[in-house]
Amino acid sequence: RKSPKPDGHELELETEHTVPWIAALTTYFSYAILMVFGTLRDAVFNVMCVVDPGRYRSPTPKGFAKLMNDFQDFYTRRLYHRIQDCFNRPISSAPGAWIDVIEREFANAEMSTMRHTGSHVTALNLSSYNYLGFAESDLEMRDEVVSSMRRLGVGNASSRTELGTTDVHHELEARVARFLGKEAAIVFGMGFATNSTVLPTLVGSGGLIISDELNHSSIVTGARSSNARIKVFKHNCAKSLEEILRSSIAEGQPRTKLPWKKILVVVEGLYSMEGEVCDLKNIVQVCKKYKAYVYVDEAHSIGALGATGRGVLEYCGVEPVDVDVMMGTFTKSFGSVGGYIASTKEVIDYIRRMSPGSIYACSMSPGCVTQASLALRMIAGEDGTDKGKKKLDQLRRNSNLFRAGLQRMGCEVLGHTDSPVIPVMLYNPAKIPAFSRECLARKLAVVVVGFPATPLIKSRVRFCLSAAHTEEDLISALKVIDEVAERVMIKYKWTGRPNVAPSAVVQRLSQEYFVDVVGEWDATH
Amino acid sequence: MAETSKASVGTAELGFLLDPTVEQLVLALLSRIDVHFFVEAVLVIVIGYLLFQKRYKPLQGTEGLTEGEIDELCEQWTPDPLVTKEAMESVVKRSERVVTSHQGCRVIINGKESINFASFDFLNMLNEESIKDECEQTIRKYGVGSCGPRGFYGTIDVHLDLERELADFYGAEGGIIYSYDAATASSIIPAFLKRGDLVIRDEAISYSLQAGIDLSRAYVKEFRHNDMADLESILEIVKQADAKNQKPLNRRFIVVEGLYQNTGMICPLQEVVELAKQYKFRVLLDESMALGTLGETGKGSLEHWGIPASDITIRCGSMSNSLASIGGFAVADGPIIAHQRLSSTGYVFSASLPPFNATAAIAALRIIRQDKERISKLRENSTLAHEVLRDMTLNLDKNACDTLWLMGDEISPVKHLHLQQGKGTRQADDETLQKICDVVLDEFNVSLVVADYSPLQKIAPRPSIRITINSAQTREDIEKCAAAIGEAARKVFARAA
Repeated sequence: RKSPKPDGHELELETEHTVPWIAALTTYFSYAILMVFGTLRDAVFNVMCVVDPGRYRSPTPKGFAKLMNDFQDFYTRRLYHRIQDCFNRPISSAPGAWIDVIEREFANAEMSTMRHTGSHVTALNLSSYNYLGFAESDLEMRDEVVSSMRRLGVGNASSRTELGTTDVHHELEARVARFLGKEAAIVFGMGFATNSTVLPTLVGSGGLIISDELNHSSIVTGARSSNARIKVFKHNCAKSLEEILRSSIAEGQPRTKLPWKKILVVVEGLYSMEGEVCDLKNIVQVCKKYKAYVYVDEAHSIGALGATGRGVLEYCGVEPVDVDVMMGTFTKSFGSVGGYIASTKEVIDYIRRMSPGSIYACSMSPGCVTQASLALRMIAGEDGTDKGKKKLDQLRRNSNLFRAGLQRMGCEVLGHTDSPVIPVMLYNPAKIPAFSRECLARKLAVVVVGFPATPLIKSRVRFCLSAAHTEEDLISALKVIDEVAERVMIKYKWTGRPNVAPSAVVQRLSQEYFVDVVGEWDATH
Repeated sequence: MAETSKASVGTAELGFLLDPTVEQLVLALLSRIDVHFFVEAVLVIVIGYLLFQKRYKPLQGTEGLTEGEIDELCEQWTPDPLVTKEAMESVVKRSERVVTSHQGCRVIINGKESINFASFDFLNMLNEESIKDECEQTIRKYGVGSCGPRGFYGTIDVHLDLERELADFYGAEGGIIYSYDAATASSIIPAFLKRGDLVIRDEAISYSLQAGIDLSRAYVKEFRHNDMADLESILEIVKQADAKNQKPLNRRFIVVEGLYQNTGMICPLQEVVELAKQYKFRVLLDESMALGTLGETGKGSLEHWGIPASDITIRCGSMSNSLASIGGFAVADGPIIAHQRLSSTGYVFSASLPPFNATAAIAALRIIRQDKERISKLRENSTLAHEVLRDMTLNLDKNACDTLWLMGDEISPVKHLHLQQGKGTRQADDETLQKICDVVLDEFNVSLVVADYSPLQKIAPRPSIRITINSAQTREDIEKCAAAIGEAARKVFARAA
């Protein structure tokens, strides 16, 4: 399927991603083995509880229900704990291009806890959402952050509507609105809470929220907190959305059959587990046709997609007026924390007086506001330099170079060109820790994701690119990944020779650059 | 078949089967017809009828509608605007105050300095230079944001330090930090409670707890604010219901706050814990307000009541009040903390706390431990404020159109002033109180706020002016505040009359 886009980029919308049968078979088999052995160990434990109650005792007091769900508890103890060294790895540096990963080891035989060994590994960071590199670059920004923190306090100890609104908050809000081409904006101290506290204010009972099936947990939480009905459409599929919209409007509300008060369609700009760009042009068209409101979560796409970093709207050629509510976060491209909502002045005023995130939550820390504001100023070019533009170009080059490299070596790469998030399929549970540990041993910090964040058999490794990475960093990383991928056997798409990079990739990169860089990589093979 | 035939009919008679005529066949058949045959035939017919009858189905969804009709329905449907006029009018209006400097008990609002009785910075941490120095070092070393969730390299060593400090401070096995106060309780509760579980909560708990309970989809029952008899009667009903229908155990929690933000009252925790033990409930305690304000050394409700840590299953709270930083926390036994690290949405799916906010919280915790003076000063100020505010309310003209009454515990640093009568609507009462606050700010340079509630909160307390006490306020400040409120109230009530 291809979506026509006159001014924006053409997305190659994949038909459903299929799992190779051999991978599916071995993956299910692996999980079955893990389950069987886990159950056996649990059975032994239960026997021991009876035999030697002094040493092994059941954690739940008598007369109380178990605090944790049985299966979840089992999964944690018998599956997760064995590979927990691959997750929650602590670092002792800024999350820049290179990070110091604190070394850990299992502290007990059950592998339930870990302790620090006292040393650390300096590794290339292919995992933080540091798209434009603001985590560690432009150190002069930190002076302003510090002065703002000193003037206005570390926190505010007050909510936005009480005494937590400062001049820098207003400045950032004005800047966000200007950057996005919207009338007004409001900022919150946390991206997750932005979605979870704003969605219930926009749609209530009698309303309908239609959400992409792969939307982020914060959107799910927000939708569930509202009294609205929730329906889900097939991931990134405008056709499925249209079907649901048509039938929903025709049916009306369940039981009463009253017409819906309003319908809000919620999508993300860039799906961070898939690396897929939203098919926004078509989705907006459908929503317009059926008079549904559009809410776009640009957590990952703002400052990462589009020629001037204006996110998925710019990338897909959608006008800001066509999206009713724009949401985004400052955590990723801006090197700060928090979230924003941009919309018409009326909607923003309403959210201010209605959203728990504005009324109860402590307002965004002034230091973080200043960081977001300065980063945004640079991205928008309001600082009078082209540093922001250069960062954006660098990010795009890095992303496409890396994606092409992974594709050429035969890895199964998900997602779209230009996405700074690049997932690669691992499938088998044993490959999750294997890939992660082998990479860390070669000084590469990567993120591996498995169930329950992904479907059971679709475990993957996810690379996040940054403008702070240099070409040398990435080439050496590709070499390492090539070696590791060979060892853990994840070259599912290997055809016997370097796979040809999609022509679209070559076109978008400057020709010589691509040939140079990838040529060098090829030459070593 | 052949065998049974043999038994009943002679072999010779069956000779015709080798070369039957129609007549012979029919006759043979008829000779074998008896009651059984009829019964079987009727059964076959009934089964056939049941199998092949056209089932009645109510029209579902868009079934029965033609594409054209659906088009028409879609055409005709007009949605409400995203924000309706009625919705816009229903919210309580507020004029926004822009702060240009935050210095603990003093604050500059719209360019004018005033004494701060509005922010929750009880221990004057916002004004602490040593904290700011440490934060600066952290910013220089780690930058501002952590650029990722805790699971994916967003765990920075200062986070682990803070978690250890919190656990140590509270005498708990483990601690966990969240990056925002509003997402703390509302993530913790759904991580443990699911549909079918049971929550009994105080009616005055804050929104974040309420939202968490709603999200968990557990059964919920409210008891009257701090009313232990009511709580017990509810527990008794549950017990009786249990005795009647034998169901598998479900998870049960009593949810309370150590010190209620919405009322300024202290929870009678000892009784709650006793009842919980007796009726086999777990207790979730929100320490957002109690941290640093209750107990001799500021360690919160447990210290205040002398309750062992093991009696409370989960303690959670906000780091944006006494610690004057950002974020939330929970302390509990190891497995309960570990469970949150995998199942608590606000923890797993959110970027972690900016490292410098963690540094600020660590520094504030250290100050609370070292500087006992602050806590005793806060206690002293709170008691004094209670006294002068109560006197002020008593001295208001009883014949004016309205008077104020004070709510809150004597030693609580959060106090609420409610309208005695009010005008009946939330909006009107809020406006009256705001007028008082405006006069207080404009004429007396004292900043106060009317406690703000979202219309999304199902049970919101009555409108009130909230007064928060800071350890750095002087006797004069507090007396000035009380006098200013009295004066402003007199003016506003006179005007209204």
